[in-house]
Amino acid sequence: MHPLLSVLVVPGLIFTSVMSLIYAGIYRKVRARMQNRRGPPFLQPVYDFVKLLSKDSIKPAKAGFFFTWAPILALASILIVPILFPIGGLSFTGDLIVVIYVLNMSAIMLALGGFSSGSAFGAVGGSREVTQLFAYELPLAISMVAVAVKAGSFSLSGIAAAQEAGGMLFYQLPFACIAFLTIIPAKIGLAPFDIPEAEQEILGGPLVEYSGYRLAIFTFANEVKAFAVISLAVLLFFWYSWWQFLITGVLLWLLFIYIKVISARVKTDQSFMFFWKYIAILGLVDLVRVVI
Amino acid sequence: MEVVVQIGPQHLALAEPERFRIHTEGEKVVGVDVAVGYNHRGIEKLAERKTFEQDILLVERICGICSMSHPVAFVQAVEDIANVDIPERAKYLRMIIAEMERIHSHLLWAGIAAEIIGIETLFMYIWKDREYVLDQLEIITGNRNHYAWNTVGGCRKDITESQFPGLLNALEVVERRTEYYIDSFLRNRTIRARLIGTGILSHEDAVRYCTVGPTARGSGYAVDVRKDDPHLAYDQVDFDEIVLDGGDNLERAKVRLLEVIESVKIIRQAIDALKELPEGDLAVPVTGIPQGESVGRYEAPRGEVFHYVKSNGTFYPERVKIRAPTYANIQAVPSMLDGDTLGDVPLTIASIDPCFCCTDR
Repeated sequence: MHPLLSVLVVPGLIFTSVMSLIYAGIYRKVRARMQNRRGPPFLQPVYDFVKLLSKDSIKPAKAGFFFTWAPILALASILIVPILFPIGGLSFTGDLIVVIYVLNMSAIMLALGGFSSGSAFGAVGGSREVTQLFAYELPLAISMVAVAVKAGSFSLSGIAAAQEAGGMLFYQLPFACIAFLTIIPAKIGLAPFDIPEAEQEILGGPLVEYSGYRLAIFTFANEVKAFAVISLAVLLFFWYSWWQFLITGVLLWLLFIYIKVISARVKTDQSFMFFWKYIAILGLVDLVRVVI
Repeated sequence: MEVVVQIGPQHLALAEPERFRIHTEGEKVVGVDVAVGYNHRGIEKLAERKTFEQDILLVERICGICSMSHPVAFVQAVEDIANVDIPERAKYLRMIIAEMERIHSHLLWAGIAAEIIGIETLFMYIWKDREYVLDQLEIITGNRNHYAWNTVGGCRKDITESQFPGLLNALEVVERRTEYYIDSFLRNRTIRARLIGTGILSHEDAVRYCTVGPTARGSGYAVDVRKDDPHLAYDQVDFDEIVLDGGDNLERAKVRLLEVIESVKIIRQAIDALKELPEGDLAVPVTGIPQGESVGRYEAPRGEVFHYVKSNGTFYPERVKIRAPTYANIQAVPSMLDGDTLGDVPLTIASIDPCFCCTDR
């Protein structure tokens, strides 16, 4: 496939945007039905995006340089992840490292946007986001490295090919898989680890001062992040073929919506202890098993 | 280094304007300054300008949720001055509405607490079930809040025979659902992680700060006007006073939810008693309030409501003094927050079920 086609159509911009908005629609509808509500129309995320674009975007007087650039960089960096997927995407040796990098980039941009918004709540949200990043980053890297070592390749298409040949990696690396799945709610800001965006404590955290097109881009970046991270989980542990990849992604998404709906928000220290004490060790077990 | 974080007067976790200055070292809370008075409306002074009959409707509007608590405390004080005994039927009628108010107030609190710790589902569920009670209140009294149920000397309306089945049905739903919520509060690990060990109020502090209501009873301090100084028909019904020892947010949540079930028990017994009682006058006529002074005590959902009324023999009271339960409980908040983290502050403030419009009057 032509590289430009990969970047812009499948699995790049258009495919990712459509899938992210479908995911967001599923999220709002399913969550509402689980909560005894009717919920908004399925296309509400699209309406919201268009509506926000038409609104004024107010920049606070105290806001810094990154207030405008954080959402754009967050979206730009997270959009790189799907381009590397082995469903017609670009691939090169070592692109797993790029994935780890751009995933962090989007989290850091969220924190930077909070810090530069000039609001105390934004700053607290930003510092919580960074703390959260420190909490889950090591276990995340450990489980991804375990996968790479087992598959014998640091590229996503290599990992997919290894699974097509030798069966899903979930069976061989169950602990690393569980560790990775546990980190997903923290990565995409879902309960019980939605600490940086706690509405009742810090009024939505980093996003508190955002409005208009900046908010639209940030919200969309978060929706893309949800799709990208879930798809990555399927790719690393449950890959079989491209259609199974899409179905498993939606099923996993439903699982995470269910977990969000039934759990309360834990505190920063609790999530930190949880990730370092249990999840890091879980990932480490599989890494040691693979290396030995 | 000490940093001061200000919560309020406007904050998402506070439905009403009130200011808390939280002194923190890192995430840890080392001190709290509470400032009340942002919602002062001069109700006590206004009450002196209105007749006794008008004052009942005025004190009903002190609070949107305790709209049975304040009028009952007020009319009890006035009836004591006038030295009238209200009809037996009126006692039960008042008690039924009062306990229904307690149920919906406690469910409202549980929903808000769930929302503050980030579990919206429980909030949506609980508030949906609260509607059953509010619907019945609307059918019986004509309003979801502000029932205009009391008058000096008795009640203004009766509960008819045809309204009992609907009421009993709503009670059954609420009881079943509340048992389910107690289960989910106790078993869900993320909820336990937030509630256990936060906002601890020791028994000594509970006594020392003169806390009242569920806040006191969650710390093992048994105060309940319904048991200590029975008014209405509370000495003729069988119910338990829920007292738990832990003193943390979980215990206070448990006290409130268990009290919902006790309230259901009380209403069922009151309905049975009403069916036995002969139909008769709902109120005794009271002509003129003599000179004198008295107090009315009432166990509101949040604790003891205290009304002092002084009459000089005219149509107007000379002085009305109101103390709401939150005014007593808010003093204990600094003690609860001491040593907690900043993330616990909204929940712990909410755990006394603060009603600032009652407090500021």
